[in-house]
Amino acid sequence: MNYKGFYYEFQNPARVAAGVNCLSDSVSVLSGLGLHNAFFVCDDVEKNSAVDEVRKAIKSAKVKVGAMYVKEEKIVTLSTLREMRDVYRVNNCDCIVACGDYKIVNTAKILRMLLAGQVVRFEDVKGINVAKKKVNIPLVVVPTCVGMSKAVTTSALVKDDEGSVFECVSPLCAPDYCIIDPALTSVFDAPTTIAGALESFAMNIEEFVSKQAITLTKCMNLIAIREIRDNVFKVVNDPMDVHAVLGLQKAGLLAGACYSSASAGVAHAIASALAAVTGEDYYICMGVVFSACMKYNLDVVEKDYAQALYYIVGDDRYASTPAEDRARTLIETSQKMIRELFDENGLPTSLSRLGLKEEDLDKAVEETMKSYALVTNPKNVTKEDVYAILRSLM
Amino acid sequence: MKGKKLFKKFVTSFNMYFFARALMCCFRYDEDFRKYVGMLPDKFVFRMRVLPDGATMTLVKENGKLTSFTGMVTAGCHDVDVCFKNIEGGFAFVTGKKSFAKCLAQSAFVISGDVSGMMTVSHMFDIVGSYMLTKRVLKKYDRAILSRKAGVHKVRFYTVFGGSLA
Repeated sequence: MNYKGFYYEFQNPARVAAGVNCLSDSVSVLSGLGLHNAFFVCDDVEKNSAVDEVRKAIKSAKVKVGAMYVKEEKIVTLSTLREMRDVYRVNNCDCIVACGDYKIVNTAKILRMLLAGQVVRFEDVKGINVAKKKVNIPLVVVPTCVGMSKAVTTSALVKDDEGSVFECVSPLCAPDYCIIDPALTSVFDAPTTIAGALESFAMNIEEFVSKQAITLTKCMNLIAIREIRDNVFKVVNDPMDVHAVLGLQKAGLLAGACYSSASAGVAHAIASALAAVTGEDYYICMGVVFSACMKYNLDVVEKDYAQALYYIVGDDRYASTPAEDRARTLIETSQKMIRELFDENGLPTSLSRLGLKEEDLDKAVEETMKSYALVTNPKNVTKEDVYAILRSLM
Repeated sequence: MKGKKLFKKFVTSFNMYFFARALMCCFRYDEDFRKYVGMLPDKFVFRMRVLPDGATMTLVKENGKLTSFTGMVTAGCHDVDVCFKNIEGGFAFVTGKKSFAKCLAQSAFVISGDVSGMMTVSHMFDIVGSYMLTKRVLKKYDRAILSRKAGVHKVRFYTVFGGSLA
């Protein structure tokens, strides 16, 4: 057998506990992490009942909540991080616990990277593997919304003082412990749930066809796609269906676990740029641009798309679809699913409804071209291609 | 001498020298290339080297001008540092078999530093590749085929015989 060129890397440093009521089972693990004085990061305490549950679990593990920081920002800014760092130090905290949606988790990840790397200037950490670990600061995250593909990744986003968004990639961003409990998941906000589920669907497809994808990540992505197919409509019909919620969370988790190794593609790059330019949620932007990006990549990844179709439509329909139509059927099915779910929940399906103006197009393209995800897109992406994709969605 | 890969080391150093010259030549003649250079912050330093003791190339933007050369400015003084893990990756890159993006996707090197700056440099490398390699070769190795804004023979000629381009 020829093993020339056979090489891959896979990294997922987070320990994950998932299941119904797994928060109470995690107490022993929390005690074993060596936590004493926790810095608690969360969103709106009154709206989010999970915060109380997590605080109780922390107390049972004999960990004191030294400070609590409640603030919600779409993408955390450097000024907020400075404020948080000061609160952390004043209260002599020694670990971070985050409970909330992806914004909170993102904030906690960046804060951990800054504190564990003892970074003096925040600007110094932008980029890949810049911060090196100097102090051990455990990070525990409890995601409370569906999707959350970013919960266990090694990357996080920050907005600098000038308002431009940059990505930080470092193993220090990955949590030490991630608790996924469907009982703590807030599924009552239907648009967020749908957008989160579809974002993890999009991420799984993008990772599956990525240039950097390896057998290990591809298997995970296909299983995740099947989980989404089986559970997304169940959650829409019955938000209290715990098993369906857990299925969606599992799919998001798999997407997140693969992201560090497989990266993503052009849809992720454009969606991140649109989120920065329009101020809209990244999840929603992903839903808007995903179908167009799938069409763009079609000629290069036709076989992969055809393979993924099996996990979306099931045996019968896959068998009855002619081989040459399978890739196109995948795109049509995905487009239909996204459009139906977005329309039902009043989410935007075009860039104009997203709030992108013609004059912002150049900025969106420029931001897209800076994204690391373009490197791993199966097709070489040029500026003209990005303009064409965005214009087709106006 | 067996196993030292001296030929590959020599070719890598030789090609990297001309690659550095081609970067400056493209800066002089290609409009798109200059736009990408304009996107880089002033005093931006990009370093690319082959581990453990292979060739090194440095690219510096200062006062709006681009300078690239083999060798390094000062250790640690860089915005982006790209280290090929071994000579195989570096050889495949400088001989045009793999684009910068493909090397990255196949984990051929370790990067530290500013992502957006690295992406800009990656687009610049694609432009250089489109001048230095023929369309047939670009297609064969699945590399980006970009429209050339300057005469390909002119760029190739000045890369090799252009004297001091800095």
